Amino acid sequence: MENRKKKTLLRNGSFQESLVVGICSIGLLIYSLYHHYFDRNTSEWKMSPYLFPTLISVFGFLLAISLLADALHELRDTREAETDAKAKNLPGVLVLVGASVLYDILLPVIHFIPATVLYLLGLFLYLGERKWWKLALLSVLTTLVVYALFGLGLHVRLP
Amino acid sequence: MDAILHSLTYFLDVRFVLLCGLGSVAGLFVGAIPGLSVSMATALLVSITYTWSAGDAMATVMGVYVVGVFSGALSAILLNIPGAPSSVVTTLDGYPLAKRGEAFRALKYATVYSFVGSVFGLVALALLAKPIAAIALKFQPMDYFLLALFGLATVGGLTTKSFSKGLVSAVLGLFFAMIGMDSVLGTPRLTFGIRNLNAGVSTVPALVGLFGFAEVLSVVFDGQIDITTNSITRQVVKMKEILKHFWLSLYYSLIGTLVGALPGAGGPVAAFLAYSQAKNIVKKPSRPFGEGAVEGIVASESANNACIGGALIPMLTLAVPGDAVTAIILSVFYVHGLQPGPMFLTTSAESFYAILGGGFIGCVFLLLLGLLAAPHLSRVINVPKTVLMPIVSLLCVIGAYACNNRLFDVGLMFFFGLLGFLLRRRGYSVAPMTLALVLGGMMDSNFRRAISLAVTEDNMLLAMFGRPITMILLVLTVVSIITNIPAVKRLRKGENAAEAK
Repeated sequence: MENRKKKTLLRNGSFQESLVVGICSIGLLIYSLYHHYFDRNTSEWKMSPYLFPTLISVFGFLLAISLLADALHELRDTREAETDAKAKNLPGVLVLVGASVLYDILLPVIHFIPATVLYLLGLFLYLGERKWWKLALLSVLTTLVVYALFGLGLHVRLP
Repeated sequence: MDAILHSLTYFLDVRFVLLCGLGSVAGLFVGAIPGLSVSMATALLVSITYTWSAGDAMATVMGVYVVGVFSGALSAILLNIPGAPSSVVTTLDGYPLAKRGEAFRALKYATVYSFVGSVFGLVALALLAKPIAAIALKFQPMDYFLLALFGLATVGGLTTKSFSKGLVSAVLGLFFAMIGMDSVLGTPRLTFGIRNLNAGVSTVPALVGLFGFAEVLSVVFDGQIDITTNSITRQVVKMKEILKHFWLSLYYSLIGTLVGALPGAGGPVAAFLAYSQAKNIVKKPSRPFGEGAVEGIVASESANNACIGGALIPMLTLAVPGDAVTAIILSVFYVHGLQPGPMFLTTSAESFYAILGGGFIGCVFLLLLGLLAAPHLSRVINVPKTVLMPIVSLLCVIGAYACNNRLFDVGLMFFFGLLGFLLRRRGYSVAPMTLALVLGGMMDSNFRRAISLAVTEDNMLLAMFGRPITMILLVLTVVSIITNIPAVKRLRKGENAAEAK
């Protein structure tokens, strides 16, 4: 199944990306020039720490123009824009990122084993595991195996 | 030849062999399970092997690398999903064979010719590393800068459909590589006042995020949670029948080694090239190509495994990695205080032999695991991603934390994971960014050094680009950029179409 959408410049992916790349490049250029001329420690251009970032920003700006050219070429293309209508799970991604950030915050507060059991329990549950005994077994066992293998066996420092 | 003989002494080191075996088993799983990749496993290994000796780390990493590249063929044959990008071509004939109930035969061919390809690539590495390093000794700062630029340009051109997107990914990587204390003046740069960034963006959390966490997010986003495999029934496949294709496989291996040595090209390109050669050379295949021809599996697997040795050649002699995995392996070297480059063979000869030794031992494990264990793996490959993905994200957290023992790096890993996910969704490859992250610091310091040296000369341009090596590298870089520019590509396509009419 495919959705067909009318092409406009604003909807074009390459155009949106060219805007982002262009704005970031100009930002980096201004930042680099400002720091080159106003920082106390910077020297002449040949040894300046901002020489390479300035070149990167100029190159980035040229790439933004190239992306814009791609966008215009895509618009001239007579074929209609096609978007994949297959169900995509954006909320799932947000939940996963949110849970991971929460885990990062919880780690120093309640320590590795309890925080990891909670993190895994939440993820298994969200990804569709419903049997409570399987949930408990998987999250506790995985945490303990990881702790034993990495923390005790391989002497890897755990958070 | 000396290097090969020396590397074979590692077969007598029990600890080395065991660690390589451990890495090989890990490589078998990560390569075979779709959603896990060799790049991801190597990135995680960087932090796990942080406290190990360089030799132990090399043994494990080489085991993962050699067997991981091969085992991508398992899921390609059994599921029609390549476990690694380099196994894409194996699906063309491997899966049709499996559907006919000949999965065991396909696996045996894939195992034997992955072994042949891997050994060929490693022998090429042993023979060619010294002459290339001798040339590299004549390199000056501008040459290193141009070589890295050439690498980024070719990677940018080959890993995505759009050259601009490939270069944007590389520019992003260069930007992140610039963050931190400036190596020349010792002042913080682009840190935006964040003190934790003074030491720079650690490569390990960035790589773990780009390859591990981004993969988890992609799987959740695509909703590819459950899959089913073809079953394997044992059948008699005579070794004599398999070895009929040996001489042709050497040709495919040569293609793989050469393509592997080119920055950015890597396994998928090598496998496609070898496959198209096979279609031209083999006039009477066992079945038509694309419908279960074992000749297709021979070509694909010999070539993609030969890339391993090929990709290691520029990485060890020039410190320019050939693909994402070798870029990560390069960071393993840096973590262990080793400096790849033209002097590597002289100053760290033992590490070079360890890599070769690890590679050859990995090849033996490839053969053993491929013939004995792989046929039983169909159930493991089928492990539900509902179970696998949370475990992978936990491993990403541990991997990111372990290198510096900072929770800040875990946050950094999440950031790069999200960035990698967004880039992939928009059709950007993260391979150019990986290379740029690893090479950025070297490019910056060599560029500034080259400028400083040149300004003292009468003719600055001649001082920078006047040497033959520099000229060759400059021409290569410019040609690589110009031929990949979309407008030039369209022009050439138009000319070809007009000629065809």
